Amino acid sequence: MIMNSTNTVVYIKVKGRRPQGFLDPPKFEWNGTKERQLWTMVSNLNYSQDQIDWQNLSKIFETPEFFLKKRTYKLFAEHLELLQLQLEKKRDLEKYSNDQVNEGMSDLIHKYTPTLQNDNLLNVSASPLTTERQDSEEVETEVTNEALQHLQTSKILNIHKKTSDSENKPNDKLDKDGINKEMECGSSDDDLSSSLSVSKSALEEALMDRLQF
Amino acid sequence: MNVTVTVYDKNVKYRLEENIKNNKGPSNDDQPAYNNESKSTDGSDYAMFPTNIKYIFEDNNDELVDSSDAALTAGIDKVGDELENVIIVQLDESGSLEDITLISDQYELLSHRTNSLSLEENQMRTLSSHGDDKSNDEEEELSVDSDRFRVDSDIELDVISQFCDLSPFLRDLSLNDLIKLYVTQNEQLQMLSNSV
Repeated sequence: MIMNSTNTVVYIKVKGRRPQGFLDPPKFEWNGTKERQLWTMVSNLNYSQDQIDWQNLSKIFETPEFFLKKRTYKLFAEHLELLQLQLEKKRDLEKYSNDQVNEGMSDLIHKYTPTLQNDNLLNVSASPLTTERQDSEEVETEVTNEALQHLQTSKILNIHKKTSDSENKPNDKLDKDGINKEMECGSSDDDLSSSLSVSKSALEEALMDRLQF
Repeated sequence: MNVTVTVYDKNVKYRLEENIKNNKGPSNDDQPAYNNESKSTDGSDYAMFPTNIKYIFEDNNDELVDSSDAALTAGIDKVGDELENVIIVQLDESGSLEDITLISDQYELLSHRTNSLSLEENQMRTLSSHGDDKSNDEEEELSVDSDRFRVDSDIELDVISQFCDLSPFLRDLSLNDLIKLYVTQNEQLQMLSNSV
């Protein structure tokens, strides 16, 4: 059973003697219904004009004034705390929704970023690109020619160095690797023809080398 | 001297009842609902107001010892009233809380706290009165008496009522809520065992 003024008694033991004229407070009843009624009354007051008539409230509730004041203070404190919690909750919700909006925006940005980049690429003026392409083509052809020349010589040299010298210069090897790949892509007949078209002087040089003259 | 005592029953059943009400009833997220059942604003406990308060001073200790039965029933006026709970609050000379005892078959005391802002005011008053060069012992005694007379503290007790069958409340609870309940009850049991 719920504690109330009937089934529960509170003894307050105080050291010292009883002050003169001190009387125990009268027994009264206080419960949730009264508390709700008190809150309805005190929370609807216009404090700029009205003032709480504690004496009247005390009569209405049959409760001592000090107790009513304490409960009123407590009720306001609790409701202020509740209000603060609600404000924090709303702030959190707003923050969460803002975060969601931001996330959505970032998703959109991520989604459209590739197209924007492509657009940028497309928007780049055509002339520099073509010149670049032309330049690169020129460089490529030069490199190919040089490589072919190197290949021709290297093939000759390989003929005699396969057995004697297995170590090649790394830079040359790198260059050759790249070119060999390109050449391998072509037909082996081309290789043969290129090897057949080796200059006489080169052959001579190789022969002389082989014969150690 | 105006001491008020508020007792909060921390039984988890109140929280569960509140959950069920919130789920069944209209959403009251936007309304700060102070319920009419003495529950706290979050519905996690049940406030009770034992307003039958009797003061016992040292000079009437003999009366209490000699006739304890009479003292225990001192607050009961009506014939047939049944006393179920007794709360004994011990205050020192300055009105500070020394000890609290709850004698009850239905409730166990978990913890207590006191809110005595007025007490601090009283202490300030005492200090200022001492600063007035009152050499007369009688006057000092009177001022201490009057300060004690003005002691005005709120004592709040957290108690736990008997554990009951919670199965009807637990059906729709999530695992997370069940864990919270378990933790709360475990803490309460721990507090009880510590106090034994």
